[in-house]
Amino acid sequence: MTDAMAISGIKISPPVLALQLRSDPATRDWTPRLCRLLTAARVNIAFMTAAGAGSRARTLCCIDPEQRNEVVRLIAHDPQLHASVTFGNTMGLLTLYPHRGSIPLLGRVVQTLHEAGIPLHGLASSIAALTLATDYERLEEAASRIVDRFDLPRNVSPLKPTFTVRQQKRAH
Amino acid sequence: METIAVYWEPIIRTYGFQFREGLVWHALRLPLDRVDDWSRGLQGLADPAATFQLTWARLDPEASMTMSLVCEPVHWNRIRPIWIGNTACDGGGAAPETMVDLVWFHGPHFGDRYGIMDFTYQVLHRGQVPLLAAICSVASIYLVLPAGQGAATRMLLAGAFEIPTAVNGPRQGASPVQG
Repeated sequence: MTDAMAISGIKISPPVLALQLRSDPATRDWTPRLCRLLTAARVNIAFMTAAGAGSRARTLCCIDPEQRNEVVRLIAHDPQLHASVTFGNTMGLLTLYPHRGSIPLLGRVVQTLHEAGIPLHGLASSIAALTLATDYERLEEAASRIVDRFDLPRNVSPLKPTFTVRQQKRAH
Repeated sequence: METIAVYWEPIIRTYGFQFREGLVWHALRLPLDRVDDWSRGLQGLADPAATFQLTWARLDPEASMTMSLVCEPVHWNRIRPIWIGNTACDGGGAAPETMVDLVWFHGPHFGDRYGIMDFTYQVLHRGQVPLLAAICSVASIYLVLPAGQGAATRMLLAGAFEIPTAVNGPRQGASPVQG
């Protein structure tokens, strides 16, 4: 199938650090505990998929790499998380929109990255967007491939973030 | 990258909670050498009305991907033949369908702010809500729940988060272009 498939835009993220969490074979999900720890460290979750139970339960969680040391320090004090969390490579998130719930669009996206040999570590839809997690070093290439395979409005190119929002508790 | 804004709410605000009951969740384990055929097959779906509510995937250590799809049963009947296809062979796996409810919500700068998923987990824990999957992407949080749990969970969450009246009134259910 090579017919045109329209999208309105693409965004690419700054680098994110991947945390892989393997939960307990006895069906205990450690994801809430990881989220509690990240909150204590004031670490935002840029992307997360958490599903399954038992030995196949795995969570992919992406955070700001600059906060790695604090997260490592806190996890070191939590034996369960220390045994369950693996720090992965630096990834990037590619978000295209809208997906319209389209099965052919999902297929086109997966095929585009797969045939280019670009790893797809994770994928998730939101209300209107579809986000892909790949190696950060191949993020620009992934965006370029998507641009080639989809119809975008003229003069639209992948958006890169120019600032970040960081949440701080206001002193009253 | 320079930080130029800060954001804090004592009670986390959302644009309201939406939910859908009686959906089908299917998780498919797909060997990487079958991804190309499978993804080409999806593009052949002739019925554009057969859409997904939620999809997510992860790369597994065993050289496979687990692809998940949540959709209306009537759509699943049309999607199923190409979604499952012949992937159940060669080490793939097609789990049985699970009936689920879906609750989703988004809020200002969700995706840029810490603590929102943690707060959500605390509310669900207090309400003893079993959670099958949680997906955080862009500014949206999706919760996949056992069938029959969606309405009560939405009420539970709505009581814990702040929903501004401007959102909770006539515009409830409205969604921005991205979320």
